[in-house]
Amino acid sequence: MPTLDKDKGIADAVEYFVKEEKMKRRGNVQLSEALETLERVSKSLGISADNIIALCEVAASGRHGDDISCKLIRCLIPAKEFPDRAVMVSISYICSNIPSSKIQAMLLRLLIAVYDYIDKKETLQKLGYLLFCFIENSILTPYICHLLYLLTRKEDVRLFRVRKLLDLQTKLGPQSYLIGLLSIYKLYFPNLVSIVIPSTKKHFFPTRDRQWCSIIREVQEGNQNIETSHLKLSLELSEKLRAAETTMLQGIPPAKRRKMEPIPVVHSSRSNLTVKMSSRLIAMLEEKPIPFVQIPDIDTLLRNPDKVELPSQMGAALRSPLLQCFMSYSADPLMTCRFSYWLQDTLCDELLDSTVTPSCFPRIESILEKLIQFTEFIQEGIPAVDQILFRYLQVWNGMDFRQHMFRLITRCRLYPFSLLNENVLDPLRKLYVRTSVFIKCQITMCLTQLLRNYVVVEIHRYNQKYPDSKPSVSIFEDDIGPFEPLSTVQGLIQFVDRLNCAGLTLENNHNLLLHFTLTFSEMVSTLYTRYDLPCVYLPSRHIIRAFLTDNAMGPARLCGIINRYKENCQKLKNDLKGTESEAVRLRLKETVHSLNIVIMDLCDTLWRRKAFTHGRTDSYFNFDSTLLDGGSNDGLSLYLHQAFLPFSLLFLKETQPKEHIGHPRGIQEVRDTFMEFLQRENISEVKEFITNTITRYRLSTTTVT
Amino acid sequence: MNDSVLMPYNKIPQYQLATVLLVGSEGIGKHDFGKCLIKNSWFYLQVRTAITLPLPLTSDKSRPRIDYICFLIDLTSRDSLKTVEESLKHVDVRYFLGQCCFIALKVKNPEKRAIFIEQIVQLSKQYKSDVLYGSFETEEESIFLAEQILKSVEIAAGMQKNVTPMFLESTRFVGTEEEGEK
Repeated sequence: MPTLDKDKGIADAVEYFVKEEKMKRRGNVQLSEALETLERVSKSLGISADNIIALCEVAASGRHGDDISCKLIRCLIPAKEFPDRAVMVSISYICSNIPSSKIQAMLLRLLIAVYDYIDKKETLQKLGYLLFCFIENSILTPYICHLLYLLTRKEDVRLFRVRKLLDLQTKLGPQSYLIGLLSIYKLYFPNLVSIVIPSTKKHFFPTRDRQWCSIIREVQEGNQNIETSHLKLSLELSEKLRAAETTMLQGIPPAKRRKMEPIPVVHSSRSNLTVKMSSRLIAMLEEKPIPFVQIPDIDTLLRNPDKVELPSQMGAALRSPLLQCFMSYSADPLMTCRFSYWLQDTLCDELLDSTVTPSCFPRIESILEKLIQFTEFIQEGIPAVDQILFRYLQVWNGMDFRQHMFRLITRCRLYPFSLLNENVLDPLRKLYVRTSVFIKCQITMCLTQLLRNYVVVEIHRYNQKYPDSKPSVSIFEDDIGPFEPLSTVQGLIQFVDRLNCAGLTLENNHNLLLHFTLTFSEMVSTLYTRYDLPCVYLPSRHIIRAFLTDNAMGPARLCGIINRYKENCQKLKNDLKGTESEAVRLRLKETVHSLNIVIMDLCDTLWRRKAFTHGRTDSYFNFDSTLLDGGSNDGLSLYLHQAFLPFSLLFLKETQPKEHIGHPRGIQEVRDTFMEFLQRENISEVKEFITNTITRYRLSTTTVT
Repeated sequence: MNDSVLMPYNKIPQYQLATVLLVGSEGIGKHDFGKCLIKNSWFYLQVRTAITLPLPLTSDKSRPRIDYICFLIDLTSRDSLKTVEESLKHVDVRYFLGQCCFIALKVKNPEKRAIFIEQIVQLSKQYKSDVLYGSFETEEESIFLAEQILKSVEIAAGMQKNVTPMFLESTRFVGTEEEGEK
């Protein structure tokens, strides 16, 4: 019964408003009753679509005066949906300029408040930008900006509109609503809008009608609750889950964080951001390219690789693993160009052109972290990043973002050595000679990785590019021009060699630094056998320091390194027969000569007990005989060397009876067994070296390593 | 030889004591940095400061030998660069073999920058000395900068075995068409 009453009441009220031509404002009982009914019903149940259309027509025409129209408009709370036609009516009346500004403003506020409940937004989309003409009306400007902020698509961004907004801004000052609309324009066309948009989006459009909006929401929820069955609820839930999955795949952070981060979210102009992804929709979109936002998973991507439309901000690739996969698959030069441009702009802005305080560190670190992940994924360095790195390292203080800098340096591309040295190696050198041993180790490791990258990836990339210029496999192209890549590699090796020499002296053969130095030398020693680089670069004479430590790692690994150099040289010599120039062969001959000196030294000291009496003047152990004690010749031998003494004693303990342990010198007769023992203790390099070099073993066919 | 030029080897070195001279315009933070140096030093250190060179001749007798010179430049004031350039004329050339360096401060405020980075780079190339970039704003940065300077000072004062400043300078790659040498 009460509903019937209410319905009747509503119908009467509506009819009253529609039919009445002129109303008395004061003392009009019917008027106040009708208004009251309307308000009551609208706040509790909401008004049905037809009634909304009728009332809208009445109110927008301004027939009954400003106050009544405004009150009527306030009552237009939709029960379920806000009808299309009402939107059309309101916009038409606004554009006709018949109602006063107050009513126009009220209508706009209505449209903003019920924006989410308009069922088909096409009318609003098509007509919305007509309102742009009224943007200069100072009463209407904030509301128009807000509505257009919600409506703008990529096609709507035009230069004349941008200009108009900027003009308004110069007249009115930087109003938040103008900046809000410009921020959307900047999102689509950053080249047209050059002003700086602050990163907080909270206060662009302060909610002026908070109460109104909350009433509308309550009414809607109430109505939904009445009609809803648990089926609809579960449908909503599944839609919400799919939405969450999509956002996770696109890498969109929770809404609050989104506002502070400079990496944009995957965003497409022509996308409908609701989650109603049915197969019908996919079929419909088959003709047009699919905006990237609508691709929820990799299967969809794989099914339509050529129909994907890239998002409006390529920088979103840093956030979305799906987009990264797509980038590595289709090396579209336009896409990489856009991405490089955005990356260069952002990094320059963050690192070089703005004040960097410790509070900016987390943000910058997150960008660098994501960038490193991206480069690790595509296994490639980005030339734009290299350029920024060059500039930043010049003014780097050696402390900020150290780990990230090192990792970015390892992915640096091949450049002519003078360029590389000036921009990357010199800052590292500056840091190396002045810091603690741990940073020295990090730098050495970074440079080892850089070298490895060069020989494994970059040289091949260069060889593919020049001179044949075949289509390349790299995603990001650089434009350095032809140069000599091998000379860069050689320069790098010599540079690191010099650094290692200085470092070991400064840190007094620190074990950790020695480890990294030896790792570098191990890598260089296999350049031909493992990486097919036709050159052999011997380390400088500091390497003998490794031999004189009291840590078994030193001499053992040195033997291993020299062994590998020997293999390298032999293989290179065999492969070079007759094809190469005189200069190359001469260089190889010199290298072999130097290598021979080292081999002889090692053999003489470790094995043949002639450490100082060998009579070679170019040896590393060339001392005046008067300076030496007579019995010092076997002081560096395998069993008396200070690094191997512990092993000698262990050996003696194991093999000799407890009463006569004997002196390590006694191991001389059982050197072979001692070598096997060392091998058991994981020091196999010595045995390999000795069997490879000492003639007796080398020629013996029974020795099996 | 001009009397006002600062010489590296005209005095007997102090036993186990290193002396570093900080040269920079007023208000740049020399005294605080000096205190930081002394606090973080693991050897005996004396810090002397000057706004400009040449140092006054009157106190020359009581002054110890200067092992290392740091020229501090504030990137937000063109004046500091001028004073440093003026002072550089009064330094003996042997200091530039690894016994001096430039420190450029406030590099992380590009909006207030008054000196082009290229000018600093030019200065560094001309005098073949390194430029360290840093600032005195946070404790960490000061300490990091101080530790770097202290390592150089220790070597310049001869307190580290077998290492001279020239040895460190040899790690630098000089020239464009140099043949690799071992």
